[in-house]
Amino acid sequence: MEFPRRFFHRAKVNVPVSVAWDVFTDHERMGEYTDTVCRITRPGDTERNGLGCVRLLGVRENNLPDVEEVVNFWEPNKLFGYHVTSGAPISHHQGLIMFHDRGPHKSEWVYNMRLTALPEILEATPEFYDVFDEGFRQFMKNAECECERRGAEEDLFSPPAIPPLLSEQGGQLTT
Amino acid sequence: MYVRMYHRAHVNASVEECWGVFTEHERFKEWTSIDWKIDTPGKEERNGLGCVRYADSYAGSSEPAVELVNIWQPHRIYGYHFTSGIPVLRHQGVVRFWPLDNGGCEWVYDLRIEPTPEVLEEAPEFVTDSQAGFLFFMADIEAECERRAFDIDLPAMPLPVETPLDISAMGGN
Repeated sequence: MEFPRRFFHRAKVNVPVSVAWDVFTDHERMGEYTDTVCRITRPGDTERNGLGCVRLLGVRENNLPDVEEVVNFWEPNKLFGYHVTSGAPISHHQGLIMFHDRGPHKSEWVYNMRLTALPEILEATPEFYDVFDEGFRQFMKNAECECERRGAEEDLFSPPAIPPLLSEQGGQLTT
Repeated sequence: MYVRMYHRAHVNASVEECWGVFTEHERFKEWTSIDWKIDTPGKEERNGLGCVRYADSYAGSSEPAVELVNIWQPHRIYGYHFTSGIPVLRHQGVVRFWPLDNGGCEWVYDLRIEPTPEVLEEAPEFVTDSQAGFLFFMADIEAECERRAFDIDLPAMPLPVETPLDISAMGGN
């Protein structure tokens, strides 16, 4: 098996830990700050966004299949984990985000994701991890900015309209 | 030509936990692609001063990499020195540790190498590749420090995508 690649980011933001937690775990608001549309296809067992929640993600205006993920770690304001179950050209995946309270209006989060691309993908697209890393870096910027935006007293901007997922437009969810 | 690679980290793990991540050689395979084995244990501690570790596969090299632990002050400073396996004339890695007020740890990784003239001529990308690999390694170490310090048992390796949705086997509450 190809050794898994790690994608890692540490951020210190000027918001309470609960705000940072919401940025990552209020799945259906993801489209407010990224180009990814997220829908919940199965609510979590005890909380809508929580443990066992299945979410479907699609990037606007591309033709890639939607990706299905399940929430598999859930300790509010402390630990959020998710696992890809279908739709991505990978064989293994785990994403973990750890949250730390750093006092009033200060928090730290550590994003640690590992995944292994399918061998045929790496053969056909040797730059797969580099391209993925570019997207990951952009997502980290988006998440940091969204934390700061939600922590601001002023309403800094309104979210853009969210188009439907590819699968909702007649596309197929790869399973 | 000397090349310095340097990284400073503030992590949410104690000095003791961070020290373990760097110095428990035989656990590297849990969180990196390097499978260090101990050839000669250290004089007073298995992982400590004088310990010789080797890895059959290291950064694409065809011959085993061998390192010697040459600086060892527990929870304070750790140093290692490549003796063979990579195309360098000189090498020294040093990691220093300090406790933080919040219970975490600051560590500073300072690595200097002098590549051989042959590798610089034959593979001019050696330096940039080494620097890129160093950054990946720093992310691995920071992530492993955080993982070990967390009070929930977290997986070091990613799960197979085919894993069924049996949340009773998953973490959290």
